[in-house]
Amino acid sequence: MISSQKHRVVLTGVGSLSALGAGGFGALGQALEAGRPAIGAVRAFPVDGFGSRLAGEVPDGALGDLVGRDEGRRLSRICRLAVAACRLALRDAGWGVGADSSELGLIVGSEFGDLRSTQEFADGYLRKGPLGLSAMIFPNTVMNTMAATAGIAVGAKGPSVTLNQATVAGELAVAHGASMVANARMPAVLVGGVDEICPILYRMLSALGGLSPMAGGPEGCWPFDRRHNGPVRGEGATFVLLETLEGALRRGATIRAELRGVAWGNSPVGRDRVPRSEGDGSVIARVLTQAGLTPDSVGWAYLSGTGDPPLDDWQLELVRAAFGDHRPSLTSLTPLAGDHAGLGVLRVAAGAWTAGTRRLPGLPSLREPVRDDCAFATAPGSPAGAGAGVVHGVARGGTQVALVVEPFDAESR
Amino acid sequence: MTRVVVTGLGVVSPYGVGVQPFWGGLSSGRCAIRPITLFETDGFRSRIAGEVPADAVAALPASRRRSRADRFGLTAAREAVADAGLSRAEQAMAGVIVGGVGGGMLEVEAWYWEMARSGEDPRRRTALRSVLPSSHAEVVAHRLGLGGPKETVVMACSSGAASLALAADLIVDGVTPVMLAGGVDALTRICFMGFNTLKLLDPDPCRPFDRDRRGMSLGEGAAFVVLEDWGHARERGARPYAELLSSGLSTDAFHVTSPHPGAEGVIRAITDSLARAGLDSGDVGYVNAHGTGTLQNDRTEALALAKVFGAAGVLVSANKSLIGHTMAAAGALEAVATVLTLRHGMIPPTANLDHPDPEIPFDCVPHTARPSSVQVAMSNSFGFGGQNVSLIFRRSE
Repeated sequence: MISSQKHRVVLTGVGSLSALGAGGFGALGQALEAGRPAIGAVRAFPVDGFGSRLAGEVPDGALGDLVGRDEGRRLSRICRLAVAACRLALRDAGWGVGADSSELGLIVGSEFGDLRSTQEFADGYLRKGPLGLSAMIFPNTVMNTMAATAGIAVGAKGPSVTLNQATVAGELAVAHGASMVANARMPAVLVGGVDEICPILYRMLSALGGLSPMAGGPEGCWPFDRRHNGPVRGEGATFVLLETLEGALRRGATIRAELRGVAWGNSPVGRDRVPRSEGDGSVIARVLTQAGLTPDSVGWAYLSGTGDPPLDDWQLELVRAAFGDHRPSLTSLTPLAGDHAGLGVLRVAAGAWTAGTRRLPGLPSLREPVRDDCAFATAPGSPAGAGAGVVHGVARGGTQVALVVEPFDAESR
Repeated sequence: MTRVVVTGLGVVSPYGVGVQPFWGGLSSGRCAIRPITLFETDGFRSRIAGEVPADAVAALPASRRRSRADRFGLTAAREAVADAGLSRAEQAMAGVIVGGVGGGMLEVEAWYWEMARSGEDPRRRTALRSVLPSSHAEVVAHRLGLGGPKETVVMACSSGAASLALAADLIVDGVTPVMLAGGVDALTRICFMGFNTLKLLDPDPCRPFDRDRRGMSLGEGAAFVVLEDWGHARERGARPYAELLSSGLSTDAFHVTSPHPGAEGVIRAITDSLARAGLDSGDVGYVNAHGTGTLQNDRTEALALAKVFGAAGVLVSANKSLIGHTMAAAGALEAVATVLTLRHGMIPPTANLDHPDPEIPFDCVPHTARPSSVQVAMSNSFGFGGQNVSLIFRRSE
């Protein structure tokens, strides 16, 4: 995908708000090091009568002073999350926040957008007819509202692209952003994912059997474990700043990691179905080729691992097909923060942390792996295997995204 | 440098199903904006739109269990792929990018309205599965067996145009030689109510660039193009309609719903697309305008065009005067219209343009289509969030 690349792509800033807390690269590293799951009973609204009750919610007060009082009144909650995470990422990268920049692009992945505002807008009509409609709320019903408000907040005047995709919207955003930078379309792109939990979304997912417990039994987030019975929803916004190596060096930025390759593809199946793959690992294989790596030079991988049984099974098939008998250490972040578009970007940011520390947060909840031919990191702070890292995401409907993350090697400049 | 050509077209529009009725309607200057039949419109300022006719919807070759928007998208996508003559093997490596906004919201509104009024959760929940814009790409990729990248881009009213821009980038980057790109949107209550609430809808069919314009008219539909690496198209004997020379994407970062008063972002999108194509403004003979008919949009767009092309420097027309603003589909439908303009040497008119705005110093081709041997044309699309996309096409010999 970026084999034709004109520039090397580096990650220089992280801003994240999730159930794990709020902060930049340092704060994220502390949360990953601790490896404490932040999933609990939903606090924001009653879930009586729903089939599920768990979620990974952004802690109260996480926004801190990242969003001004006036913005706080004007912006919907999901827009506030996006704005705050963008500011954190630019601050973390040492990029002039608020500076007008036609050289800064913005790519936002989201699975559900601002459903809360959509419901609020409709409810206004259902309560009072046309007089109950709010002109202020209406723009939020369009999914690019998070990108629009974040772009204004940070002065990003390059392309602003919102990608809608189940499960891997965040990884897809990173892949697009990296491609844009590598192919000299933008020198820097702020890339992120954002979703929020709200009553209408939780109700819909619960009604459709899209949350744990999908088929009854206890509720929990247990990717790759025999108990896995569906995802637990999370929320939040995570953004990273990607830029050309030359640009980052020129402005003296701290380089957290290098993105060596991105690839994405599709195995065409029905919208909610999972491919019956015999192990088509071509997306992972493609990304390794791009990065000039062999399978045995990969030491670790962050997988989307949502706890959705067929999706977990397909992903492990793909991993096995790509790596053969080589067994990189595998982990997933969903038990820590719950599934949402921001988590895809969090996986990439976590990959940058692992590239620097050689540690993985692990899957402490893993008791009985669904496969015994994969090596899972289980304890917090597990050692990552030697070599490069892969971030791999899969979604129902057959979408796959793979990225290669490596520590930046100053000697190879 | 990889050259990207258009080898297939597919359309569902307020004129019905197919490219032929679409071009026939546009070139005849027949306005397809009519009273809305899909849902109640009592109490609203505007009650009209470019609705896909009921008989055309009934005949759509896509399952009625799907959302209206998914049916539009699948029908237009099938036409484009068939028009391009892609084999199943070529489809298997092709990717798809769809611009979407409303997704299957029309059907979910019906579910939600019923729940709100009855107090009970209706049992039929299938509509919920197609509520998201990404549903269109999922359905199209699955039914057509597209195994390349599959994406959904949501850039408000510039979504359809952005899908072409991003798809062309993937071809240029060597990801895949064939992409299906387009936009899809059906009318929804929320969109209709929202633009009414913003007082951006004209009670009568819209009049872009007219002195007395009072806002836009909504519309619905879908359009897809097959984009292809020129070498790949030539090898398999495909005959290109046109070449997609370049695109320019920019953001105002100014206001969520209002364009930048100095058209700064629009000018950047236009000049970037010209620069990427290696063209001067004088090379462009026609601009298929975003042209919504709102006071602000038309003024801003005219300002940008005047700055780049000079006053009266280019022919301009607005398809929205004929079919309404089809939201996420608009940029793709207008791209198809631009390609057909080059192909047929005929510029579709701006309907309802009785009194050209003296502040808009362009020949906006009022009422009647005009023969023209234009070789290079631009299609502009702008959206909420200050999202600007310009596409430049060149006639294929």
